[in-house]
Amino acid sequence: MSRAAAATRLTAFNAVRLAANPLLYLGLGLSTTLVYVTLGYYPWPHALDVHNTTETVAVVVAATMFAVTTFPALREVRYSGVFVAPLGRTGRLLSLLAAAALVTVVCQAAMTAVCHWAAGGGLPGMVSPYARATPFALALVGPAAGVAVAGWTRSYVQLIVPVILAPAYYLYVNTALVSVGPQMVSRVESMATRAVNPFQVMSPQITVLSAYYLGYVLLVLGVFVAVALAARPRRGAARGAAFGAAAVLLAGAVATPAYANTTYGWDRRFPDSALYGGDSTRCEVREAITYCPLPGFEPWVDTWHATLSEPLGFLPEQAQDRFPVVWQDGPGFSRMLNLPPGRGVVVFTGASPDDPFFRSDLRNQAARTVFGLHSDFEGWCWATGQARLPLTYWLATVGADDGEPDPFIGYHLASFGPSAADLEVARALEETPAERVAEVLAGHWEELNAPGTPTTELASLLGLPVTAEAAGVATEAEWREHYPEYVFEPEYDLPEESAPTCG
Amino acid sequence: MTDPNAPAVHARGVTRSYGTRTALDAVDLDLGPGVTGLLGRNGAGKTTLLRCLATDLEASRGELRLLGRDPRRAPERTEIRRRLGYLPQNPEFYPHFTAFGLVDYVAVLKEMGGRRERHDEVRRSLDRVGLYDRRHSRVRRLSGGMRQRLGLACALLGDPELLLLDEPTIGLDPEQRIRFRSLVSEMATRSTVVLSTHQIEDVAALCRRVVCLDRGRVVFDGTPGDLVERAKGRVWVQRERPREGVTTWRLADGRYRVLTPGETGSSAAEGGRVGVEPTLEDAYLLLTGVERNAR
Repeated sequence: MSRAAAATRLTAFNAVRLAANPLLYLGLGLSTTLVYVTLGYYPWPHALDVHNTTETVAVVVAATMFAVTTFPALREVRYSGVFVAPLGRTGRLLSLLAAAALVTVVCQAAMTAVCHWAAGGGLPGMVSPYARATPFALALVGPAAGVAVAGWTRSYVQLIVPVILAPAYYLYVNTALVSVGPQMVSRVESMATRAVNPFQVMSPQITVLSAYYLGYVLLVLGVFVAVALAARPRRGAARGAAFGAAAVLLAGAVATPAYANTTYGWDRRFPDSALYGGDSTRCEVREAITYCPLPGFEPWVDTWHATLSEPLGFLPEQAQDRFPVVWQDGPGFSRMLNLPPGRGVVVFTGASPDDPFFRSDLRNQAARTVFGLHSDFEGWCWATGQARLPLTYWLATVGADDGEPDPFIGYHLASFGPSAADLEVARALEETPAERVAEVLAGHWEELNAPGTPTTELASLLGLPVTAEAAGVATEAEWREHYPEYVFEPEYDLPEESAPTCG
Repeated sequence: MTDPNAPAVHARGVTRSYGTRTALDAVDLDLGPGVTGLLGRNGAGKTTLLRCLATDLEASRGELRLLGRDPRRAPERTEIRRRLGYLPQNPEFYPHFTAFGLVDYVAVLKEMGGRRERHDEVRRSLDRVGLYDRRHSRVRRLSGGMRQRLGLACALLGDPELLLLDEPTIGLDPEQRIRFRSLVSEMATRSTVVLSTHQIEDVAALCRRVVCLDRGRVVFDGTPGDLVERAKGRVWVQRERPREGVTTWRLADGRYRVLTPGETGSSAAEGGRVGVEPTLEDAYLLLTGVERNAR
């Protein structure tokens, strides 16, 4: 039998023994629980959520395999030397590493399958192939570290210390000690988080960053393998070569995120060509509304359009040059798009179109864009008494079929400092047939859309009586009269006094 | 090149040093089939020699060929290891293995192919050392003697051409030692067995050749009979405690057994001495204790 065949048999022997370790099943049970708990936070998960969960679970798989591999690693470093056999000590260690890698990959594949199964099929979003490989590389770091640490400690101290520290850590974060205790724990936590992912900007969608991250994890993996081989009881050139390799790999592991953070810092914006699948992504125009989803999120356009097409359908043709460009920004990175000024409506990957809250937010943003009111991201302004303020409110709510009125809509209205008359007309518009409002808008679009047109004129055109005060900002009492469902808090809701008038 | 007629062990001037200390000093040996006993006091170099023969240590100087191959060359060393069984002194085994698991692990290391064949061989090996019934016991639950036999089972795997046993009978009870002797005798019909031990009875019972080491040098190489012959006329029994400077011990009947270097039957009358037939142990003690002092 050849040495390769013997190494294969030893790998199989080790793999069977690793798979028989009860700690493995404890870890997998914990991982499965984590999958369901984490995905439970995402009522409408997409591919990026599943990927993030897979990466989190990979860390648990790595920790599990670290513990499981420590036992045979100690067997090799402490007890295997008594056996003189064709398969030498380095070959035995490599076989153990191969077996641990095999078991780890199977476990991680199983957990990835559980993630996808728990999230359901046909998820929107795309993840680069590098990112798909990263959780596997992350998980593999665990057993490599297990062999390396066991090789140098030659004891179970690396398993015993965490078992002792875990209850202390639990007590620390769950008792009053947290307010008076040392900052060391939070620093260690921060360092551990940065060690797992030291990149300032990271997204599984960005091909180049995913490649850097995968490269970083592979380099760390290589460091542990080299350190494990250097721990073997041998002297001379081979140990020197192992240490040299470890040093080079470590330098690479430090340099990779350093370079990536310099090149792709917080302020970096990424064009679609940098995204996986972005080359084929095009903005889509439906009934004069433009949609620019991230790669893989094209199915969401249907729901976005279902949300916006009805209210915007009440607007005249001349309003179409102000129709919004709905674009999706990335999680963890800024997307570079050439948007027409004042027409961008941003949605995030966390904002599922199936969520009523985000549908309401989308309608609000679109209505404000059409009537030229600033978005949240451009700063607030005063639109007190302007006709377009109640019209914005009307457009954001007309045709909405989400049941009860969204109380958050009051926040959007309050943010522009409405007068009592604005509130009265906005409320009256709810009772006015949409077709009647559309008719008035068609006849007086430019006029009603102008900042100088008062709400009283809109009321006059619609034949609505206005009894409330048209000048000045509505008081808390007036809010309670017209919007009892919304708790108006002037100090939080209104723009700053120095804010400009909406132009 | 491999010479099929070459002795299993061929050593010329084999020297092994640890820093400034020389553990083996220009050892010359040719060993063939049969059992060769390796005797010597603690620190004489027996274990170092066995480790060199087991390819676990490389000789610092000299020429060593094992089973017709050069252990310094990696491919040949691998080939030697395929044909070698080695029981080290006081072996420590991974305590979480079962007896079967441990021997199976070593069988995998020894490149034994096919799971079924391998397991058959593991069972056979455990049976030969009388541990088959304890095959499911964890190593940590086995007694010292059982662990020793377990090590022997590992060494016997695959009927090695060269079997090296370093203190194999430590911890064995008399019954197990008899069984061990029978096993080694059987192995010696087709293999070269090197047995390092302090148990002179084992050597007397098993070996047709004895090599004595002292301070890393071979001080005797011959048959047990030759060694005993050298002690003739130097072993006495007397009633009075002998003078200082001779090797002696008190017997159960109150008399003293005396080993006298350089003295022969001419002084037999002194102190009521009665000359007796020397044993192998007498000869060994004279060689390592007395002759060394005389050198």
